[in-house]
Amino acid sequence: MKEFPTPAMRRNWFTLCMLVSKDFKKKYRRSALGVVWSVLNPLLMMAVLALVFSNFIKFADIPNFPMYLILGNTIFALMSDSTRDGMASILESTSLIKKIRIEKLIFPLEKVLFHLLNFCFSLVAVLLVMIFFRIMPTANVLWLPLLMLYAVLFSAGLSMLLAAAAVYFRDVLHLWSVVITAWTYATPLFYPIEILPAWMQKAEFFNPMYHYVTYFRDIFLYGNTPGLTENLVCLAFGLASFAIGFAVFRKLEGKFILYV
Amino acid sequence: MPEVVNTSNLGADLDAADNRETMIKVDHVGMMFNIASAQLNSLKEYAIAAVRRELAFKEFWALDDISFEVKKGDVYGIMGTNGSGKSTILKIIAGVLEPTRGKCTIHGKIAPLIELGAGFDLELTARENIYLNGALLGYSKKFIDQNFDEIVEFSEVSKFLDMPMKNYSSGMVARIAFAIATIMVPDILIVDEVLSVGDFMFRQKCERRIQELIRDHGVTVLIVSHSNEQVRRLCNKAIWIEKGHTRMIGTAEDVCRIYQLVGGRTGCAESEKVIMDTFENTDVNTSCVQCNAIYGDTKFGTSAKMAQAEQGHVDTVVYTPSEDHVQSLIATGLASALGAKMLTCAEQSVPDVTRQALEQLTPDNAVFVSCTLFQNPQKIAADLPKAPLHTHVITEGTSTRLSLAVFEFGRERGIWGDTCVISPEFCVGDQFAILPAATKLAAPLFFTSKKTVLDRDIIDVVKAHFKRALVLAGEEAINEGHLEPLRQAGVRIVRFIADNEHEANERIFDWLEEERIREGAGPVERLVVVNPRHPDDAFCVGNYAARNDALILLNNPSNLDYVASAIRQVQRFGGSIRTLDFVGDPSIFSDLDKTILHRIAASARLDAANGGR
Repeated sequence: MKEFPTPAMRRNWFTLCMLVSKDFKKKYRRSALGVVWSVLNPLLMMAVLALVFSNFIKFADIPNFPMYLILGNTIFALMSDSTRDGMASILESTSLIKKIRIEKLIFPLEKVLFHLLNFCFSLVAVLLVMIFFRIMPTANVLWLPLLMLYAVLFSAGLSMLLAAAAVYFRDVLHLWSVVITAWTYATPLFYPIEILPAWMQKAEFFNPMYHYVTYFRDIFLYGNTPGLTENLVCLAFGLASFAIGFAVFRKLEGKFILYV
Repeated sequence: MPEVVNTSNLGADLDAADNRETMIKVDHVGMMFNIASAQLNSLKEYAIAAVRRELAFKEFWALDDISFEVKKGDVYGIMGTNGSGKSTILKIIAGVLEPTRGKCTIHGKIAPLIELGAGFDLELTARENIYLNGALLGYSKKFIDQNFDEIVEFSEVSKFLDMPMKNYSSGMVARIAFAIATIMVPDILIVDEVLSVGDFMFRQKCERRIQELIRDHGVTVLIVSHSNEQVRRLCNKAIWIEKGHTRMIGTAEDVCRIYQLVGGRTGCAESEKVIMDTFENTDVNTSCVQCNAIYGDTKFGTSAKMAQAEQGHVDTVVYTPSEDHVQSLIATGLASALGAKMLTCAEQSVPDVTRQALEQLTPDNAVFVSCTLFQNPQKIAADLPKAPLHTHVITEGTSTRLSLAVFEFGRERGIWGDTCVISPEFCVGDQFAILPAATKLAAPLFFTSKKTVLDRDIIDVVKAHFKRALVLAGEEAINEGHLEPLRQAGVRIVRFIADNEHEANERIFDWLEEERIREGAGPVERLVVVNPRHPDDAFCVGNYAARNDALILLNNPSNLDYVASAIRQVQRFGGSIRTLDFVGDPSIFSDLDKTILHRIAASARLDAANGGR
């Protein structure tokens, strides 16, 4: 009648896709605007921030400030959202992990993939802002897939690490939201890096998100071509994070079932 | 009393010549859980435990050295009580858990049915869930596409395919889950009590599907079940695991038979052996001993049935709520001393069976005995079909006061003998066992109250009116010091000290036998068997036992030590027992429970007949 399908990789990929589609359907089920929110949300966030930081609190004159904001926010959100959901992913899948033999890596990776999809929708918002402010894109936007790769590697690594840690210590769940808030302010998302004291400007070199945000603005707003060094730095952060996260996850996953 | 559950190996019946392909090989598997560190979920707790060096201490072996092999085409049952490690072994076989020790080797593809519907998201529609669940079970999209219709057809949900599953009934969810899980033909199918969900139509359908897989595709199946009958029907082999230890491996038939007999019951290994030997000894002709079951449809029905069992005019009926054993036993004592029938009722109303019994008995007098005040005894009396001429209501707030009031009521009528029974409230078993003597001697029952160990009032009454007191309960409840005032007043004290209820029953039997010998009574020919854990419908048994010259034997089938003790006591009468009356419906004494004592009594009788010849 039927036979067993597929090698493991293809099977896992299908599972991954089904889970992403599940998350996506659940996110917009019963909302009138549905998927439009994925575009609308970054736009509205940008509008609020632009209003606040160009009228009440003004750090410096940044040309094309709304564009500056939305670029930083969307790429940062990719990281913060996927790590937040990825971190809880194993704990949320307790019932499955306890009952079915399944590749556990799927769960944190699925969350990253889901937020990558959301990121793609927010690119539409970015496009709308560009049209509104008449910003001409250059050929440099073609670097975007590379940036996405870096950012996804980095986020996936963190997600795996946090997911594994959260299984053993639920504290991580609470702690991480604080870290994310601190990280938001430590990254020049709504202020120029120049307003920071000199030592902090130097320290920003070790902030991966600073590199990704800058990269994003370079290719979309300033029309700069990222240099080899910049690419290598971004890749290095991504790979390092992924390697550490993967190693830790693999080492700990065998005992997950005893703690979830 | 510590709960003892046997975990000794009862033997494995392995067919060495079986050269079919091995599908699952469980090789000396042990699974250890670390209870202490498994509960540390925060950094603080972990740090504290680390400092105190409490980490990794409390080891718990959920499975200890389990080995078995499942061959191709086997339908293998895994039996055991809750918490004995069945699910753990299944998880190890399914690859979800890694064993701490040993190895589990699998040949072939496994489809786990460990829990139906794991991975369903009830927000999504059935259609979406079929794909999602299929993916989680490792199917490809193409495979699900091809078999989608068949899944829908099996689960009978085609009309509701695009409705969110949270609106589904649990039966529908189970059907979809089962359909998805069994749509492919695996090499090994694992079924974990899934057949216990859903209605019986669904269960039948699932069983048919499983049998189809077994018959047409030669699938190897592993089934976990509590249900003896299910394992017997579906499986050819079985293993019984108890508290992580292998108890028995063999054909499903053998394992089921033994499991049904002693599985999940407490008691020591010797008791277990006695019971199994009895059970295996099937060639006893039991026709020489009569075996009856006495029970009504409800707990009220039993007493009504007993009261109606004999003919003749009834002068008095004692009437008591059966919710509480204390007042029921006091009432029983009164009823037997008065030569009255005893009926039970609910606190607030007269059950139909009781009403019918009253219609038939038409007594002249009715005595109401109750600890809590009857809401309105006159109303209940008026509610009766033919109101009795005289109604007496005895009601007091506590058991001590009630027993004294009942004594007073009887004293005015001069019904009591020169012996009384003193007992704390909790000795239900002893109270049952002593009933035949209490009935014959017309001995009132005095309950000591919880606060003072032996009340002044009781001491005074006993000193004034009795020559002998039968004192139930052990030293820890009533010590000798408490009884000193009675001794000084010349009251003879008889005690039945034992470690537990069934031993106390034996002591009481010893004493009753001595008494019988002293009186020159004949051998005991009848035993009334009562379960002290379910006394509800057994209160009226004292009268019945006394009238039939029977002794009351306590038996609690869920404790093997108890059963072994009951066996010993049946044997002690050396074959004089002709009749066994079991009080309680089949949930209290199953056919199996009855068969064991019946066989013992019969074989004792046959032995006596042969020895005498």
